[in-house]
Amino acid sequence: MRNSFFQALEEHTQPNTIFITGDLGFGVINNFIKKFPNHFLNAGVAEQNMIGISAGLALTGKKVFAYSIGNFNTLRPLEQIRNDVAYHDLNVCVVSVGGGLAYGSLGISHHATEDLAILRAIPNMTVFAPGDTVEAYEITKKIILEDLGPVYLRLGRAGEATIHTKESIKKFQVGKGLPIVESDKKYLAILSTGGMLEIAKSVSDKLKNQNIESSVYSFHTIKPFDIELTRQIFKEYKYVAALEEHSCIGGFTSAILESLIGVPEINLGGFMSFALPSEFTSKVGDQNYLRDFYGISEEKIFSTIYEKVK
Amino acid sequence: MTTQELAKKIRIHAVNMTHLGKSSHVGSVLSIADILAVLYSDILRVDPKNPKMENRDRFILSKGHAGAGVYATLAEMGFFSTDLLKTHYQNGSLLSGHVSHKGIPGVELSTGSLGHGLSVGTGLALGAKMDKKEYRTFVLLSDGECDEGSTWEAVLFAAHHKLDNLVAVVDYNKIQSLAPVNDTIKLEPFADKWKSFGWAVTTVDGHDHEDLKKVFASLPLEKSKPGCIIANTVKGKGVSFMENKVLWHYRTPQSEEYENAIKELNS
Repeated sequence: MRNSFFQALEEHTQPNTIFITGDLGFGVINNFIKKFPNHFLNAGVAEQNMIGISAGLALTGKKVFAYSIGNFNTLRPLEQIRNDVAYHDLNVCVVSVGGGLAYGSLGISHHATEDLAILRAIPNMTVFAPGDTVEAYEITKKIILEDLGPVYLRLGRAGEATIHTKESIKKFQVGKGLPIVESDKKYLAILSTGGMLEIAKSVSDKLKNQNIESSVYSFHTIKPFDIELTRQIFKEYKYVAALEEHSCIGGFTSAILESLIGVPEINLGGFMSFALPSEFTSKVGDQNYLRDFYGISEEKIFSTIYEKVK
Repeated sequence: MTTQELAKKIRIHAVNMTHLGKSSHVGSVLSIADILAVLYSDILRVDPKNPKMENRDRFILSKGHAGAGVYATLAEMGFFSTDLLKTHYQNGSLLSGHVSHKGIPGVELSTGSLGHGLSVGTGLALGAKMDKKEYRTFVLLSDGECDEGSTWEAVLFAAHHKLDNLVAVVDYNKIQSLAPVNDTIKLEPFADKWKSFGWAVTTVDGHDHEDLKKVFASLPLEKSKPGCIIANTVKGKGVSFMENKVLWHYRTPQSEEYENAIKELNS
C-alpha cells in the first residue's frame, strides 16, 4: 500500500501538491524527492508543527500530504488536526503507514489501533482505510485531484496483496463499500476495512471449499460511512462478519452498529465482529503473530465463522 | 482615526464586551490593544472591503483568548458592523470567546488552544515564499504560550527555512493565567532564546505607538531570518486597577468596576 501511495503521488502530483514528512520514509521517498524536489518538505521530528504548517500551506491553496508512521502524525498532533485542519476545512491529508499491527514487533508505541475511532470522531474528516494496493492508489489519486478537505489515510506497510481487478475498482466511490465477491445466496457477508481485505478474501475462498458461499465487501471509507449498503447487507444476509485490525471500540464495528440504529427489521444475532480487544498487548510479535494471538488471523477467523455458520 | 484613537476604542469595546457577555480575558486584550491598533491602522496590507484579497498580509492571533480585541479591531476597521460586538460570548452569537474565523470576515485563523498560531503562520509564510508572493505573516503570541513545545518547533523550522516574511510578536506582559511568568516557567533570557534559534530579535515598548510603528516599518528585521518582536506590555493596560493583576486574566468587569473602567478609558 505504501508503494502504491507513492506511485500515485509520483504519477499525479499537481503544481499545488506538497508532501511533508515527519522525518520518516527512509528508502521510499527518494524517487518522489528526485522527481519533485520543490514539492517535498521535511518537518523534522516535530509532528505538531508539521500539521500546523500543513494547515498554513493549505490556507495558501496547497494540497498537503502530512506523512509519518503509526500514531506519530495522528495522536501526537491530534489537536492541530482538529483545530487547524478540520475546523478550517483544509485540504490536508494526514497519511500514516503501519495501520493496525503492521509494526507489530516494534511495540505498542507503533501499534495504530485506535486511529480510526479517534480520527473519525472529528467533524469534517474523511477517513480512508484502503484494503489493497489498488484502493490505496485510487484513493491517493482522488485526494490529489479532488477537493476532499481534511482526510486521514490509513495505510498498511508494504507487500499487501492486490485483491481488486481493473474491472472491480471501476466502481470505486468515496464513501461507498465495494463488492469483491458477490454471492446470490445472501447467506454470509464478510465486510472488511483496511488491510484485513486479503484475509477476508481468503476466508471466503476457504469457506467456499466447504460449500459455504459468501460475499466480500471492502469498506475503504470509514467516514463518511456507507450506511445504505450496511443496512442492505444486514437486511439480506443471515450472517455478517466484520473484520478490522483496530480496537473493538469506535472503529469499523462501531460504525456498522451506529448505522443500524433505528432500523426495525435487523437482527444482530448473526453478526460476528473480528477486532482487537481494548488492551495494550503483553506479547511481542510480528503482525501475523499478533493477529493470531488476538483471533483475527486467517485461520482463527475462518474457524470462528465456520463454527457459527456451518 | 489615529492609532491612539483606535487603541482607545479597542479598549472600550473590550471592557464592554467582557462586561456584557460576562467573559474573561479583559486584561489580555488590554495588553495587546496598542499592538493591534498600530498593526491594523498603519502596517497590515488588508482591505476591509476585500478581506480575502490575494496578496493581503496575514495576521494570526495565536493567543486566541484575547479574541475580543481582534473582533473589536476588525469592526472598527470596517470589516463588519460594530453592532455585532454586543453579541460577543452570548448564546447564538458568531463571536466566540476565543477568536473564530467562521462567518467573521478578516479573521485568518481560529485559535484558542495555545501553541498553534506560529506553526500555521509558518506554513503561510512558507507558502508565500514557494509562490513568490509578497505578503507577510504576523503572529501575535502570548508569553505564556512560549511554554508550549509546539511554539519552539515552529521557531526552529521558520529559522531553518529563512522565513524573513514571518513576524512573531510576543505580548510579553509577564503574567500568565495563575501567576507571573517568573513564578510559572521562566522565559529569560527570552530574547537570547529566540536569537539562538536563528531569529532576528528586537524589543519594543508594546504601548508606545511610535516605537511600534518604527519597528514594524523596518521589517524584515534581518534578511533571511524570521523576525521576533518582543513587546514589553502591561496586562490590563489602560485601566489602573487592572494593570499587572493576575486577577484580571479571568475576572469580568461588573457594576462599579465596569463603570470605573469605562470612565477611566474615556477620560
